[in-house]
Amino acid sequence: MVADYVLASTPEEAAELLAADPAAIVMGGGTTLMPRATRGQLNGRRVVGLARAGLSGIARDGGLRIGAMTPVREVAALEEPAALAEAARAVGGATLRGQATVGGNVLMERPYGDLVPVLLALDAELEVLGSGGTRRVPLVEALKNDPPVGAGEILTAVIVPDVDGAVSYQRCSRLATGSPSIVAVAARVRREGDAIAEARLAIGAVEPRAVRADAAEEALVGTSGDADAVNAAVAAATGALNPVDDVAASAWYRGRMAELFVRRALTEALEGGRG
Amino acid sequence: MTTQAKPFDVIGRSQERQEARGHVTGDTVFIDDLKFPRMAHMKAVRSPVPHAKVRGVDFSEAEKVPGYIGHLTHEDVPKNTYTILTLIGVEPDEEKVLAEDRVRYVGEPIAVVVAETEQAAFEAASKVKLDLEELPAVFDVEEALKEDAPVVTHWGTNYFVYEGHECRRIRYGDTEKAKQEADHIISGRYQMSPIEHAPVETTGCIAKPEADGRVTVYTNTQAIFFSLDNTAIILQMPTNKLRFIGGTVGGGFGGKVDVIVEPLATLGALKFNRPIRYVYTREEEMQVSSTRSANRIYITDGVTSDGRIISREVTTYEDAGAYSRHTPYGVTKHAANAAGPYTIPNVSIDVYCVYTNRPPSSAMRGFGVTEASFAIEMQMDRIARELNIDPWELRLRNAYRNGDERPYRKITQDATLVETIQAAAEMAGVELSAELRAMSSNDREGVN
Amino acid sequence: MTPRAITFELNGEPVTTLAEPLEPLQAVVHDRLGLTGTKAGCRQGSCGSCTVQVDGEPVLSCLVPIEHVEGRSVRTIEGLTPEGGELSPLQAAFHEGFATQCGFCSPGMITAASALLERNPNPSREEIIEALSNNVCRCTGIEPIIQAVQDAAARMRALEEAAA
Repeated sequence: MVADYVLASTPEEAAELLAADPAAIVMGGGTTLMPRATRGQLNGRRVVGLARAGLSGIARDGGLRIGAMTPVREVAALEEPAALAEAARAVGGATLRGQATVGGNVLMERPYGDLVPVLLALDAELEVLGSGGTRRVPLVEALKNDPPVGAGEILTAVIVPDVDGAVSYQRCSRLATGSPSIVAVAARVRREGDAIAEARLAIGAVEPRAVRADAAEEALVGTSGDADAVNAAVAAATGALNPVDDVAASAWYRGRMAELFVRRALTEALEGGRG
Repeated sequence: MTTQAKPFDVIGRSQERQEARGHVTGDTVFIDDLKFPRMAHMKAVRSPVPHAKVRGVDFSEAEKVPGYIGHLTHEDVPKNTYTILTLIGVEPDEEKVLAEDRVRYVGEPIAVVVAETEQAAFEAASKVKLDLEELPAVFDVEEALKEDAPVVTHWGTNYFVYEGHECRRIRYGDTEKAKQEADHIISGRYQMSPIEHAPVETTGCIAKPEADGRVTVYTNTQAIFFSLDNTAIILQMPTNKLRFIGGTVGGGFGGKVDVIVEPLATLGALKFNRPIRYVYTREEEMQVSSTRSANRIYITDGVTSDGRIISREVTTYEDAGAYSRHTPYGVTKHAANAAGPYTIPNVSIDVYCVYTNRPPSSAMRGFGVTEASFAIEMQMDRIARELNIDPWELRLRNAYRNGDERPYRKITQDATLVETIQAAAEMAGVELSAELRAMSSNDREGVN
Repeated sequence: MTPRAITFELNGEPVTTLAEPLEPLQAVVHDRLGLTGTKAGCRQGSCGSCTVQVDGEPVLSCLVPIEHVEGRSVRTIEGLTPEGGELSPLQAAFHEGFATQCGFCSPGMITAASALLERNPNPSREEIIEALSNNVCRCTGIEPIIQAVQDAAARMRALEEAAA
């Protein structure tokens, strides 16, 4: 069993404890760590818990500030942004959503991370506490590192700015609930007049982490979003993907579904999205 | 004197299930709910690769784990042969209780460790070092039957031998000739995945040594007498030294008939003189425990334009995985049912029991037969689509009747397929023609 | 690795137990406190047979460190069973409706359904399916369970009306 479990009373205390013991592990909701502890994989290590560090809660101030320890269930109950709530409802089952946290969902690799494509489409940022203080980093930048948050750092909040354009969220999975995503796509466009001024296309569950389809986004900007533009964007997006094989789906199937679901998400986003 | 008949108090009335009350209150006792003083925990050390020679097993790091009690290898097992089919007269006995010089599937047990706590047992098992020389592996049933395929079995071929043949065979009539007379040849390839029973309660037992030298084994096996006999054979002990207590099974579906945990737990109880709890984790239940076999079924039918199937050829490759278990028996059942409940004058069936480096498949709800039904009914729908015949009509015309000879030469008795299809059509709101509604299992009106 | 004393309310009574750091609530309740109705089917939050209520909310107790329930109220299947041999309406509905076969998933199902009916006395079929979406049954095909919850809800509403 673990050596000890310390519930930090502030995020600063958690960061200090982690910095002091390089072998220590941070725990949020515990949904992925507890199974490891039960199987004797964390024997002898210290676990630093965030459950009492005051990191839970959603505040609305222009955009949204979602504390990292907020249960996914609370995001699922939001009315705005609708696509984020919809993505949250895809996480696990009803009971688990009360225990899984937003922070955990954002930081974990496939098959977790259903919130990430929508957060990418919304230009979300991460608020991170480290020894140097608090910093903000765009989620898309953070995801380029593995892990996205550095050793000894704590993810304290996810910041969702108030952006223009509604997000379209399309998800492929075997079952409606309690089933890992095979493909999850979030798309958003902002027009100036008839032309697309800004486009976001995020694809999750296909690769280890969700990705922004940069080439596809560029292909859309300046166009009217007609059939040719959509075809070009779909081709650019899927061409850049390296789908993985796992128990939920083969790489081949993922690739085929990615094409279909990217097209659906773009089409819906161009027609006004869902929010 | 005439006795007045009493009204029935059981027949014709809904009865309360005796055990269900405990299920809804949480009082029913399952294996994991039992605890004994000084109970120790057993965990298996398993092969991480699909095919390898076992060169050595090193327990030195495992022994340092606090709470470590000991381990068992094949050297500790009095008769290290897993004998599940011997009891029903089917050979060969090729699987070991604990691997000796070879492992043939990912998850094959090489040793078991015993520790004071379950977490210590997990840790100890993870610290056992295996010296394995990996060998080429084969995972596909047709690949496994090729000349140059890696050999899985110890007898040198990747198939089970049925009375001198490399498959179970049924020959009836002359399919070659019939195919030439047919108006259409319709073929299909049907592939199943291995299916895991996934009972919510995992496989497990607790073996408790008693002061009188006997061992009491609390087990969730579906096959308690089977398990007792097999344990006695493997441990080379008289059956009267064993007392098996069970019957409460948290889901079985055929997945708890393989007698997997009792022999080793009992051996551990005797060696260490402690109650030994050996319960599968969810991962072991999913990845190691047996499944329904994945069958690849090829069907080629000769069909007349008016929808009579006059020839059926079936070639099935059943994936037994690395060891036989119940698959050789399942293959025989499959062969008997592979033509379907239809009267077809020319039938040729070849069913192979193929060995691959995958976890062994075994019993699961109608194993052998269920797979045949799946393929046959897909094939019937295919025929109906290709010939543009109503799928209900196709089945009714070809359905077997009383007095018809089956391909294995038994005469059909008590057939009710026609009536069942008619009843199903009515329940589904499908209107059958008068001719189809008039059909019966007792005559061949409207058949030919 | 020093066990600590943890105090919480269990089925309406205060209880103090020793527990290892990060010991799951399921293990404490089942192994230390002898309430064996709360099962460990997977110990990874995927089967729901460990479902208990914490402050009225259903949780997967195999994923809850014991420290998290300190000072809180926990209710297990034993605490949902009336004293004196009667069954609760939900238990009776499961029993009579053949919504339990092997019985292993039943405590978790009933505990999750009980939490649903507490906050929603007239759930739709979809709401029942949603509430039970983290409880797996491999025997019944789930339909008898959905029926039993609807049945129980009707019985409970009738009892409420009779009492009013």
